[in-house]
Amino acid sequence: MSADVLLHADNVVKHFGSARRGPLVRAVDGVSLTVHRGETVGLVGETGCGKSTLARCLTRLYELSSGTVRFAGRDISQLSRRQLAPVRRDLQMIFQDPYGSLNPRRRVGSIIGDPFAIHGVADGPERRRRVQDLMRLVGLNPEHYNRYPSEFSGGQRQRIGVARAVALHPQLVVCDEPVSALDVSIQAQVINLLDDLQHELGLAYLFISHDLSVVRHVSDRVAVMYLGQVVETAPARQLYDHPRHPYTAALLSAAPVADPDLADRRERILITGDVPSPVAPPSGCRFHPRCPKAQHRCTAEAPALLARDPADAAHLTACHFPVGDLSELVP
Amino acid sequence: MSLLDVHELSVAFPTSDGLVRAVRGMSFGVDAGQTLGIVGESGSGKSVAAMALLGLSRGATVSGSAVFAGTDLLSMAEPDLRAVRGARIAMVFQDPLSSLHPLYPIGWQITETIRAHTATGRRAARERAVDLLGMVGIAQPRQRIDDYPHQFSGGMRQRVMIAMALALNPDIVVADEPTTALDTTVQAQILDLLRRLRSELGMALIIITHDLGVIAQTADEVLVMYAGRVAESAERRDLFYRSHHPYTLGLLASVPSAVGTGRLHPIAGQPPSPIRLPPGCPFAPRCTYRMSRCAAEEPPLLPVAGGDGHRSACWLPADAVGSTAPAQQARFAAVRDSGQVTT
Repeated sequence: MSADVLLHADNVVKHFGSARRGPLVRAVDGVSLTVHRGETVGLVGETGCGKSTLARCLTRLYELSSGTVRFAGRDISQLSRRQLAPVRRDLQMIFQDPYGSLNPRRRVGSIIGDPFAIHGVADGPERRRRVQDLMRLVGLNPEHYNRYPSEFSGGQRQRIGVARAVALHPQLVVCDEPVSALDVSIQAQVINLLDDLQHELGLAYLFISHDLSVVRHVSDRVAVMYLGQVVETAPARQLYDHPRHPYTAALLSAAPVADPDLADRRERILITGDVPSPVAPPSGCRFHPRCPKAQHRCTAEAPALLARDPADAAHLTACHFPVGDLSELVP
Repeated sequence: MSLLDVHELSVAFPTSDGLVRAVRGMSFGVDAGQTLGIVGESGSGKSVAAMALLGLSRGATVSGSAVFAGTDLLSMAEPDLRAVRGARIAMVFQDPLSSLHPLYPIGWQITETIRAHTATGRRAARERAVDLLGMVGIAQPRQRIDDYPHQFSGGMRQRVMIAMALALNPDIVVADEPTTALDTTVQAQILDLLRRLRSELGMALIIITHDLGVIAQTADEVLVMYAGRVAESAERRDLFYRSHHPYTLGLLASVPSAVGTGRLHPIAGQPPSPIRLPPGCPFAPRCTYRMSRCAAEEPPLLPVAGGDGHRSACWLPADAVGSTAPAQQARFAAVRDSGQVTT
């Protein structure tokens, strides 16, 4: 494994429920993923594809059902709470809901100061100074140190969440839909902030979103999830310009673009139906019931996530019949 | 004369913190077979305006007029309005799970709508419901009509909501964030369905959304709302390619483009509180083109040069459109440097 690999997930599985009491929910079913130092990996997929569950497995907010997660060269999938504490200095998370993720009864200064307190890094006036530095860094007014979260707008609250996550200069921040709850003009402010912090602090991000254009904008590499599995991963540009999995192609063509001419011109690949339940995923390739290219083999044999073009080893696709030309998919 | 003519609609809610002026003098018209897109961020007044038209804004002070088929909806008595609402003007809401009753089968809910408004027999209403479900793309409608909302997925529930809205062949369907709760691939299906039904049934469609992408692919005419006012109104392509209002420009610059990966240009600051609106133009405190006049006088919706029906509530010159072009950038810089700016 190369030295700049920061996080490597290997065949991570997370099932909810127990086999004795009804069927298992196979939320994440064998995901392997790598994040290098200083890069942004985007993770996209629709509701229920397991992207948030995966995020919580990687940060060990959930116990894994099986598989391993190596972070900074160390297997963290079996560590106890106590053993995890020092890891968490380097592995932080930003949540979607800036309302639910901040304790409404605590002052902003103490929320952002928590990491310093928990890890015994700084206290007293020193902690206050560092918290105010952080508030300045993320674009909050340091004089608002003593205010409560309710006194801030959604965008400002998300900045509080960002300040808390980067307080100890982590190496990786897992961002779970960090801008989805925000209005577009505010969304752009937070995206730019994350971008600035990455340059300033050398952070790596795992950026989870259902918004394809946001993911394209922020990511170096992108992984697409469907029903608990990664179906395609590639450098961002390659994935968006030449998707090879029919699901990726359909997803990209379905995403609304804020450009009338492009919207009119674009060939739409309409896939029918909804995402099946992760309780009873389809046999073989999980996308086959909705796939315009599905053949008999797809119903029986699950495709592996492989490089389908020897010239492009970084582009992996889990499909028996990867898309060559998008016109194949247009009805 | 449009199918619906809204003139100077204002909606205010008295609260303990003061008067919330949610909508302030909004005017627009919508014609049969046309899709009007209303776009704005949270709190811009876009949903409140639609609710007020249908008499669904309880406790609010509503003024202005909204003439539909020769009568003013805003001065109509409740029983008369009931005959219009749901029958001639129907609504599709964002969240189909909370707008469908969880304890009644969907068929019952559709037939109830039909029977509340027309003298249709039980059996005929049920047949109509089956037809409607088929029309909106529910497979095997006859088998599914007695299923409950929880037995459908989010996208299917939204189809049921649309079937219910179409039950009485409305003249206008108001869809408030109809796809916001849905996934990308399902969103595309629902938008396609709405577009197809609009052209097949010839109704007018009003789509309220925060998503410029949805607007770009569905609307004929667009209203951009800011702080309770229409900031800009234009035909779809004019709005995107010849924007005039700095807020519209700011919104477009905030959205990651489908091709480039350059840095985003967000609008600084945040929208004003609808209780304490700034004097003059409500966007002035965030506006890069701010002039001294902007803080003093609120600009009315004025015609923009070159676009038919293109209007913008901004004091910038009428021909200052599409400032993404270098020439326009220079022009704006000139306006700014001419000493009219207070920054």
